[in-house]
Amino acid sequence: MEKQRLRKVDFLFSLALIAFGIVVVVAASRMPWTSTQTGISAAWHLSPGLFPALLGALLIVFSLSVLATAVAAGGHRDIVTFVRGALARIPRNRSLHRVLLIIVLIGGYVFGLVGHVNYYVASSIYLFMFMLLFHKAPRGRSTTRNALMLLAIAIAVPLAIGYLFSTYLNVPLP
Amino acid sequence: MYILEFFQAIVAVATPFKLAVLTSSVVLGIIFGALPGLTATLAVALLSTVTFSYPTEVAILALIGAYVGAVYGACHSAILIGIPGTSAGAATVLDGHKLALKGLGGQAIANATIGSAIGTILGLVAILAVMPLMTSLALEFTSIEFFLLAIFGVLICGSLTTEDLPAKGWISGILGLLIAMIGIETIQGFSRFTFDIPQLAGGIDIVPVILGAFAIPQIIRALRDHDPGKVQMAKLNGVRPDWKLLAKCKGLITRSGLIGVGIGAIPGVGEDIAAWTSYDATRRASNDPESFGKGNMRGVIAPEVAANSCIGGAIIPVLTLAVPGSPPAAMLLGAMWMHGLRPGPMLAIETPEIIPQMAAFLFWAAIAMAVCGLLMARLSVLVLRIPATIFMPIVAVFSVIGSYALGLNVFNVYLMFFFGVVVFFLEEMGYPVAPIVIGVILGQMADVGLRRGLLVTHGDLMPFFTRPVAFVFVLLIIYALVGQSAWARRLARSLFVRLRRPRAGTSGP
Repeated sequence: MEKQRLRKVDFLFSLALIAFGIVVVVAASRMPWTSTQTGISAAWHLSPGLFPALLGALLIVFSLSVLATAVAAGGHRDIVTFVRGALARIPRNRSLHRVLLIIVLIGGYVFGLVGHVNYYVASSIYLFMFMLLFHKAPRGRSTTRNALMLLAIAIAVPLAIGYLFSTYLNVPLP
Repeated sequence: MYILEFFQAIVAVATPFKLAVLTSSVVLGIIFGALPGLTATLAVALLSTVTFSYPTEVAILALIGAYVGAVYGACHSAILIGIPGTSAGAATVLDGHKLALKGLGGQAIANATIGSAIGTILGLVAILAVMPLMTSLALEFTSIEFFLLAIFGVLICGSLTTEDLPAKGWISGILGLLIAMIGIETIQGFSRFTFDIPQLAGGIDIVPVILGAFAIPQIIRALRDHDPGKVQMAKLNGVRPDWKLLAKCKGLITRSGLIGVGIGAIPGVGEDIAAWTSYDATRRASNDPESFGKGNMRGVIAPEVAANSCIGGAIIPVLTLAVPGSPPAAMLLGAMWMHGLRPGPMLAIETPEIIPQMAAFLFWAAIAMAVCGLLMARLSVLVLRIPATIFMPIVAVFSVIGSYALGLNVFNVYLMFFFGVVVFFLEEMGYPVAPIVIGVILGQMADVGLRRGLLVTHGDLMPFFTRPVAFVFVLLIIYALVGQSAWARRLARSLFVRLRRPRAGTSGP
């Protein structure tokens, strides 16, 4: 990410981190400070909220430091225009589309398939979809032949991994 | 020194089964190290779940093998295709790939292999030499020192691993420490940040965090920008070490080994920084520094020795203080916990055999790495031809199984994915991943250390500054916080100038 753009992102994200730090401090302040869960009185320094409160405070301080650097570099200037421009570029941002596609594919495998469908079937579907979308056929090879090769890999790899893990390494499959 | 025990451990490891496990792990590590996108941390993390059902000794042996192999394996891709397999091989690219383009790829890999093996052995020598002193020092640590050590570890790791602002490294560390706060805490049994999700009550396991943080961002980064085409592979030619040159490089190897061990011992600062520091030191000390970056064999040997000696350095604080010296060492520490070991000051008393055993594992791993590394140079040429679009989706399958295998819990798979996506976006904004991992590992130590320390002092903060070791840590924390800032350097420079001025005045006419 180029420096000027990074400082604008820093400006926005440090504000979010400061807000998160405040949430942590507030959550820590609501933990028992003068008594235990069972009602026995306890000193402040034994409170389960002590270290999280310290971490929340440090998060705020360090995020303020990032914010100050971002502001000094002009990261706060034209921030609304920057956000609007970034949002407007989303439909044309191929790199972002690929990132989101990868996240959706792995997310679909993790949340939609693993634990719901048989491991071999789940992994084969995921691998085939992923490779079909991202792997291009080398020059001279037909798309059908490429797809068949990917299908063979998508079936063979989970079988090999499953056999290796469950038979030799005693690791159960999801 | 554990010399006798070390030799006994070397003999004890030399059984066909253990050597077979070690060799397989080293080969797996070399492949992980060589393939761009797969890291040593990922290799150790995956293997730790796979070897969970193995006896402790065999499991740790396998992890050490994978660790050594993966740190070394990075040089194969660095030299052959000019892309480091892991960040540990980044410094090797500069001269290694230039040598490969000149037709000396095989010799560069062979020299890097021997350099890495020597580096690993220098690391184990450091373990044997330093451990008794470190153990006796660690026994003096109280809760206060452990709290300050954890904070220092996270902050210095943040300072040294960030590529942008130091504060971003510290924020990463704080986020890691906050992740470690999730679950039922040990002193009062209070449930923190669990949001009534029962699976979070036991806290967050390190394995899904590491698998997610090191696998998912790599998969995304490898495939997001363009369709990776066919790699341009340099010719390998003869894979033979230049023994005469290696013999001439005794000083260079010793210096690089010391740099590697020293940097390895710093919490969370890993092989990549050791390699770069050693490369820079070698270039500066050289008679012809301008030849570096154009294909100087010393520019290959120095970073490889440092990266592998860093392993021994990183293991020293794991064994003595339960503080990982690098991200793969963090996973090694997590694996030792999983197998019921208690690394820390009491390790040398409770299970003293572990220390010479660990050195013996490193010794055999160095031998296996040297043999497999030289034999696998030609195999690497084939492995590196596998397109990222094929092997990267497979990495996700491994990460899912690895996360699930620990506790047979699908929730860990969800956590792996969640942390992976979050770490990807954090890294995109310049927040490094290593301090997060170190924070997760050290969170409990810091929390319990702070409260136990205050319990002993009845809430008095003064012992945090008056105990000698604690005071040293306070100074180190201050250094970690201000050492890199421009204003601190300006202040130090102006103080230095002011101190020198009166002396200059008195010596004048």
